[in-house]
Amino acid sequence: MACFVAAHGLLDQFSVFQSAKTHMTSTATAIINCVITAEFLRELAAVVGCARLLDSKDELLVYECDGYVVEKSVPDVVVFPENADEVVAIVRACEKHNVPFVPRGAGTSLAGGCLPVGGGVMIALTKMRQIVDINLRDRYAVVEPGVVNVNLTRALAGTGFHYAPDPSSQGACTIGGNVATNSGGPHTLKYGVTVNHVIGVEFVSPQGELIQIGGPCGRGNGFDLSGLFVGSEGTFGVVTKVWVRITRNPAAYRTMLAIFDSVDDTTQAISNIIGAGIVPAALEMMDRGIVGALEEAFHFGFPLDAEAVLLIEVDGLEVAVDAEAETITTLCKDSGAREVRLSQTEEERALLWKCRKQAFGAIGRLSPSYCTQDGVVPRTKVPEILRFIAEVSERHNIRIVNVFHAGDGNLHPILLFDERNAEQVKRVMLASDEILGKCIDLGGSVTGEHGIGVEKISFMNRLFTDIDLAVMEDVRKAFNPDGRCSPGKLLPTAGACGMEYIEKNHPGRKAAM
Amino acid sequence: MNDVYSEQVLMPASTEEVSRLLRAETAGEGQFTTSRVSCSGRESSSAAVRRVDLQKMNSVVDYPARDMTVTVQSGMAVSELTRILAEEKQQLPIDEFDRSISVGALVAGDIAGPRQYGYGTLRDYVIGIEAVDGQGRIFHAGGRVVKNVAGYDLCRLMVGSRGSLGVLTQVTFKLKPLPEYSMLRCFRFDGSAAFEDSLGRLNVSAASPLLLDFEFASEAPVQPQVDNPGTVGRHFPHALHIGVEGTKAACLWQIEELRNDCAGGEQFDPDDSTAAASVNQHCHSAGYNWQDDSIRIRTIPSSLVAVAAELAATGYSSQGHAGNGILFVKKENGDGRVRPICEEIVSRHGGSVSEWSVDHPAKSTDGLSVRLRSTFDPHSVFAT
Repeated sequence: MACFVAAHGLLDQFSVFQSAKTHMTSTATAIINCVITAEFLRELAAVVGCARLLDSKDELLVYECDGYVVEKSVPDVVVFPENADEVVAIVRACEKHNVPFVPRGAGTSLAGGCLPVGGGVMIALTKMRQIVDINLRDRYAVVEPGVVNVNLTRALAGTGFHYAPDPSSQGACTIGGNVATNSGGPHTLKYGVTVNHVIGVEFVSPQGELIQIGGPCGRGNGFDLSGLFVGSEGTFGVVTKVWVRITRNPAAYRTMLAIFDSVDDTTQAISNIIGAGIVPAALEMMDRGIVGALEEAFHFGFPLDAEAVLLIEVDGLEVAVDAEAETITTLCKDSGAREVRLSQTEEERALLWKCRKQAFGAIGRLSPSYCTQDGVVPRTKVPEILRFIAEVSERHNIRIVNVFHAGDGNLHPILLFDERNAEQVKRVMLASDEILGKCIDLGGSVTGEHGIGVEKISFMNRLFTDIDLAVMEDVRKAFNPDGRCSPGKLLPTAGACGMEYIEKNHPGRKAAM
Repeated sequence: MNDVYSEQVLMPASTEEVSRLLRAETAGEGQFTTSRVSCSGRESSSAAVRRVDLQKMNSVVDYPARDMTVTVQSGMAVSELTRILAEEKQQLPIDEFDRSISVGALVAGDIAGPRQYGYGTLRDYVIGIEAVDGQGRIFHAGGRVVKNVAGYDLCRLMVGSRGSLGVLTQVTFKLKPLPEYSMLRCFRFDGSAAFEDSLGRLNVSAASPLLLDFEFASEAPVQPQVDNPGTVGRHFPHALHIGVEGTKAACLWQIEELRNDCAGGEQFDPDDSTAAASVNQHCHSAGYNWQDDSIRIRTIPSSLVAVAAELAATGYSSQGHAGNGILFVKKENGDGRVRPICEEIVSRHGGSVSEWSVDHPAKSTDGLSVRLRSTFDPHSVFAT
């Protein structure tokens, strides 16, 4: 690309933005201009070179949203650093020119976590994809943030170890992004989410310092800063390296598909399994809508007349898994399962998991757009929330299918719509709000693994008190005092206290609205 | 601790009362103006320090057993929590050495024992907190569901903060089922090469030990038992204690595997011995208690034997959690020589050295920690 030509083109447009400076809100925190000058672009290009800098409108459009397609905002420039030194230089340039920036992995976030609110610089970390070290004896690996999740497990193939967090998007999502959102996945029921596997983080602070917290020996004598960092949704800095635990492969698996004629029976089985004190490696539910789409896509042999199926996996010692599988089979049948199939071969198991993990991909067969929600309820409230979702679906005339981590009570109702239809978009947002509101009412949360992003900011006041949010805002300021890093994310205050001008200077847009 | 500071103990009965105490402290009003407050119940203290004792805040707030979570006030004794959970065949799998310790002190101290190898530590179990910061602000983080990423994870920040960021008043844990059966075996080694080989094999064992503890003596250890004739006349300076759990059949199968993994050693306790120590006994023995006069070294597991051997060469025995790379060295009678030796050894192998009574997270001097400390405790009311 010809970035300097484009820069001069942009320079003409910036006269408009420059005049906007007079409207900026003066606050206690530093003012961020969000003015991209040609000088600034030249500085960025000097760091990464023209080949790793995008600033033309057509190229930037690709980065206007992540997996949450309802809200969009185009960055002013995208850069692709290849190492931590380049990230430091980019962030320092942003600080010097008072420009906001947002880190981005693969853009698979489902809550607008890497939406460039107010524009500015997007730091795409996909070229930092080295697996720096694998230490089997000490059970850790060191990776750059752009390493695709599944590639670490692939690199470990044959060693007897794997990387346990396995989001459904693991074939595309990056470990840096996983750190930002504290990602989960089907097997986190037994093995925990990302924070349980991160022992250290190296990151570039919003002031441009390269900082390491934790490492191979954990946190040492200090605070658990890496525990705090995980899940901060890019608001604390840009991750440049991660120390992750690697986990021994279980000696044996038993993977089952339990088939039910009613959703209520299915949820009862979930409750009975957990209530019996059994913690399977995974316990996933898929309803009739999603099973139909999956069957069409993968031809697994799912029963199309079933109302729901449970994908259940137990793992551990060969001597123990059969007994666990038998107990679960009995509990399912006692709860009304029509049939419980045991996966007979490794190929069958792999296909079953492929179906589950690519479920979102199969949704394209059902509608042009979809919105995946991420509510959580106490495990025993799963029957109640599923009944509520069915009622909301009917009331708003929005088709909703369900594929989710039943064992954790982590729901993923998928609302099907056409983003070109403004009226449908409004109904989807209303339905989503009602479902997430009900999750809160039932003692749960609005996000189990996708993050707050921009999508769920309005719920933070319902989940937390004003003081809770003030304390969190103070914590953000300890890392990111002027809000330059990932503005408009996670905290409602982040979009209102000192950063409103960012949005005004560079308004985003909602799908069809 | 109560005896030492009995005249200075504050015993609030509610979170709001804790908040009032701290606001008064902050505002410089009332009777607390000149004092500073410690809250973990285990802090070393100067004469000016008063302690917030939460023993009146000892209730179960919510225990939906079928959801496998529990919310309790932090003044509850851990032994009481253990008893309540056992009634539902559940557990918080964290080993405490002081049965009277409170839930708040457990979390603030990030207490962890032998089973951290298999179960992890408190950062893996705390899913929600309520706390009061140094300005008297009552704040919450996390929630009561097992999976929740809404807001910053202040739960992890509070775990192990030793009361320097706030007074924990309520904690929500996720729980584990109690195992059906467990077994503990001890293997002893007469040379460090065989000991290290076994640790390497155990790292990839077909068994899944939940604890993997070691002892590494500086000189000849206790005499071998006479009922184990194979050991007579030999010295065994190194030992491994290995615990497994599951069904009885799974435990027995794992013990067989462990025998293969520890082929270079001698099994110390016969399988059929009723005297064999239990996992429970081992996890509550005092030998691995960092809060006494021990120095703790954290290194990577592959460096453990080298570190232990260098310590032994300077006359110091060590023990600890081999699977986690954690060693404890006794600091007898205020021995001032041992810490510099530990630091010198660790400087070559990597890791950290700490003493409970000396090292404190609030003493961290990096900018982030200082700013966080200032955020939560701007008036330095919490003792460190």
